[in-house]
Amino acid sequence: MSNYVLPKAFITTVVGSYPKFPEAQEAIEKRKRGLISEEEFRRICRSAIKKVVEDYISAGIDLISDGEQTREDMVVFFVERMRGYEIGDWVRIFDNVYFRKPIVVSKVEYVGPMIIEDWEYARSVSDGRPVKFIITGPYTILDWSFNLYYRDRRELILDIARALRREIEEAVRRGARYVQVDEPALSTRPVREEAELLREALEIMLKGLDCRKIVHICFGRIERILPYILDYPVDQFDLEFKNSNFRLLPYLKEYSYNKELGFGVVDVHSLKVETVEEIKDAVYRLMRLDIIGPEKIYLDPDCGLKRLPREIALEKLKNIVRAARELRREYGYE
Amino acid sequence: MKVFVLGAYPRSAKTRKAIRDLDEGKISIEEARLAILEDTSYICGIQCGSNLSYVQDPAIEHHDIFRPFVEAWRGVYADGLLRFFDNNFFYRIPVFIEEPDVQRCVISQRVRVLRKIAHDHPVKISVPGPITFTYLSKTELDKGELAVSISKAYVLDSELGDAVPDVLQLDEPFLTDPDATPYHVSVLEDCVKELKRRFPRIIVSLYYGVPKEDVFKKLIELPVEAVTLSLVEYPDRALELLRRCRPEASRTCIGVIDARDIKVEEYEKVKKLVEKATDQIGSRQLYGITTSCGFELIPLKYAIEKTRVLGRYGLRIAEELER
Repeated sequence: MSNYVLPKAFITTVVGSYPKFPEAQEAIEKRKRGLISEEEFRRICRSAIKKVVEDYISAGIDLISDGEQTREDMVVFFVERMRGYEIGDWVRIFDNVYFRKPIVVSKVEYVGPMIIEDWEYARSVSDGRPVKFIITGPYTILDWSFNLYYRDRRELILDIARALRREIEEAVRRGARYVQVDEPALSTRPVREEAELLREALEIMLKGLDCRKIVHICFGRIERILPYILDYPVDQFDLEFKNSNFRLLPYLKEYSYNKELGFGVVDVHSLKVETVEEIKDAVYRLMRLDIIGPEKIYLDPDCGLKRLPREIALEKLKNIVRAARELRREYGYE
Repeated sequence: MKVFVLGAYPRSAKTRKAIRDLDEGKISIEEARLAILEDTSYICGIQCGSNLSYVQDPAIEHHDIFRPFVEAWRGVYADGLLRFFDNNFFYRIPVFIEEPDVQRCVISQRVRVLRKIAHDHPVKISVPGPITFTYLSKTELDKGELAVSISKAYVLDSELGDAVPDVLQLDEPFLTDPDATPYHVSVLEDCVKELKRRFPRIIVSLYYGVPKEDVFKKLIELPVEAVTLSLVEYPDRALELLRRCRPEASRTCIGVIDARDIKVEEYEKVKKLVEKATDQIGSRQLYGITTSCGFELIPLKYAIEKTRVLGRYGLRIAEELER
């Protein structure tokens, strides 16, 4: 394994998911129908994870992921592997696309490793590039499930956090240096009480762990939640900007943002590939705010790429990398 | 006291598959329509059998509340996905490049279908309120003017198709957003004036949140049959709003059944909510009870169960209020 050195500025990364390769999709279906064992499922998905990693490397992404190839979706995958949940019936996400919304029916508890194997495999084929350990956060798992057991949402979210802590602890023990907690649901209720609820959960999940901690939030009124989350125990917020036309930018200044920033510069809901110039213009707008330097800026898509055709996703990533290289030269980092 | 469901229903497994098969070219549009019609008939039958005051259009074929109109009008197209308020559900953003030009009827088509199914039951069609439609879209046009032109398009749809629902419901969740102001309600007032030319009975429905006091005060002055307010998500705030505003001009309909949760409410809990509301506004100003929003974000079997619960509870509560 070669030792990949991350650039000093404008590190390029991904939020997590990548378009599903057919073998992974087929394996998910077969596993769901009980036609293959968990071991067989993982084995088949490895070839998909390898292809994702190859795409990332060919695009030139610095900090990569396993592409979430084994995950049917970001909530169901985890709750299927924890105690306390039943998988419910189908609920719409958009158009005619549905997910099986889980139901909490008893106390939520950790059972055993969920994504560690995928992450380790991605790392083994990443040619030394660091691989983010990406896990769906407790607020999102709470919000995107029905609850028929707990009387109190706080009790439920803290139990989920305790379960996820065990998974993260194990990943860090095995060498995970970047841990990202995905919380797309948080921006939907941008009020102090909800932010406080997640803070308490994050403290349980991340306290004392020796790794770089990231929280990803997207799609919603992030500017409304921003003032309540800035002191979360994390090093970086990874946020969607492009889809909302960079509406969030002035609020970073207003709230004196000074953590690392995962800066979403391409829209994962649009088939249009952003040009290098468009991406650079977005970064110039951020730089003009004069709040954080290039070392703290990570360039990435707004969110996971899973809904895009593979060729579009790849082109978007390539343009992020091209933009980052030019920016590094312009700002004196190369 | 009226009892009705506020919005759309989820699709059955059969219809989901039919639409998927249609998209993949495996079946004809007629076959897909048949599955949709079966769902529509079944759901309307449940509503009639539950003694609901209106048969709500279950809107089975619609991918989101805007799409049927976006697809039926010239001057607008559907773009990328965006989260629909606080849900894990995304709509395609309508992009208006010019004022809508009705090419195909949506409202009147829905009315015709429902009339055949529901016979003598009054029919309610919900449409995106012109303010919500405008403010959840992208456009370079003047938003006030666009909202009014959307209202005119609804009128034209009904005139061209020669069918009018018994009740037209304007879904205005945007008006519960902190960004909504009395200005938006004044634009809605202009829209209602247009709509009243064709639709005599209009309900304005608010869901997913509680509007600001200045917005609600102006809303309840609108010349509409009722304004709905959900007591489910933030009951204390909603009840306080009712206490402070005490609607008189408009009658208020309260959302008391959580349409986004599968847990079935206990009767006593619902009754207590209704009593708390009538303590504030008086039972004469209570137009009725409804769901917190549409049922489209829970599985169909729970939507059916909750429809029946709403009907049963509605009857009991109406009897107890009369006593």
